[in-house]
Amino acid sequence: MISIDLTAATPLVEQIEQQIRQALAAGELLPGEPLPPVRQLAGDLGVNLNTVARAYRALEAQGLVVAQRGRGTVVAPRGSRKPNKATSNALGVAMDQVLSDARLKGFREAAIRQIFEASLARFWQRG
Amino acid sequence: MQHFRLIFDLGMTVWPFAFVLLFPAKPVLNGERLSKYKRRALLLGIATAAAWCLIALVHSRFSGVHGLWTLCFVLWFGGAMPIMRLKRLDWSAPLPDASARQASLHSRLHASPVPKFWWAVAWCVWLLLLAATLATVDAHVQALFPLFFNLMGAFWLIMGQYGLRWFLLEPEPLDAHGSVELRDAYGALRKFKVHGWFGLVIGAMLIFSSVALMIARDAGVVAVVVLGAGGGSLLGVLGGVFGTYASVLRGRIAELRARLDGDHDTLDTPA
Repeated sequence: MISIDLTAATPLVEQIEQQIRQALAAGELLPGEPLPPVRQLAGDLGVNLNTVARAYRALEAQGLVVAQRGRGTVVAPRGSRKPNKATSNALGVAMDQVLSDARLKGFREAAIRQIFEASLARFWQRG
Repeated sequence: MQHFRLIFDLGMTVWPFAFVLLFPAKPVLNGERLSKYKRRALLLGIATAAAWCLIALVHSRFSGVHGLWTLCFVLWFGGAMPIMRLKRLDWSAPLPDASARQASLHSRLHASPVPKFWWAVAWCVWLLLLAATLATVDAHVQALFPLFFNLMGAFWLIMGQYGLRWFLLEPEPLDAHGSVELRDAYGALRKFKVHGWFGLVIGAMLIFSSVALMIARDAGVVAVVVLGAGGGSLLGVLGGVFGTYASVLRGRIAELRARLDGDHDTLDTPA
């Protein structure tokens, strides 16, 4: 399932992209499985076709999905998603961002570790 | 033949009115608009009856009525459909106003209730009828004419597969919580639409291909007209029933979604 909030500050394209990324990480969509056609998702969510198409293109640029002739957009095989130096750096930056946010909000190291490990366990259990 | 034409034309001009009368009504909110369309239906009815009487007077034995059946399109699209839409105001299913929206991430296009195997069987049947047509075409009958009808059968199969995309991709907006009840209702509607459409397409293919075979075998004008016109009209009426019932199901889903959204609003509102 994907859910968007029309009143949220985050642009719709980003919301859709993030939601699909989460679904992929959680194993809700398996490699080779087709994503809903742009027209289906746009119609169900009541958003413009271009909004969904842009989100799909962004996911394709990240190597998470591939456009296949006759099949539409499908989830990329896991083998094509190997971490490299650039993605490791990007992950490091994102982690720094999360940690600094947590520290500013008053979380202690033990609490952050506990939340992180719970999230880690949840994702790996599903994926 | 004359009797068939008379019954056929009479039936085709009467059924849109019968359909409207039999169609169950829902509470009507806009009585003014309904009165307007009822007036229009009355005028169309009078005009149709007048056309019948005029032809009866001129020809004295209804011999000129053939062709009046085409009025059914005017009566159906101009009278019956607008009135039925007003008899059930819940037909339209607009997107919910809620700012939070949910949708499934599974492709409906790849989960059609009609498997590819069924289409393969339909194509095989068409090929068999084509082979039978080509094998039995008489020397004195031009092969082009039956071939045209047979190709019309293939055209329906191609159109059917493209039309299926439209039915599968029809928007299915969920309530804010993505209720299972609503998803099941959409699933049932989808199944009905796809099976109904498949049935109509197969029916059209069989009628066209059978007419082709009958022409090739020189079966006689009466048999060809009875099968072509009778079968075609029956298919048209079934199409009308199919489309109307699908709209009724859509209306029920819109009601369910409105109720679910109302329930969530009540739950979300702090006491």
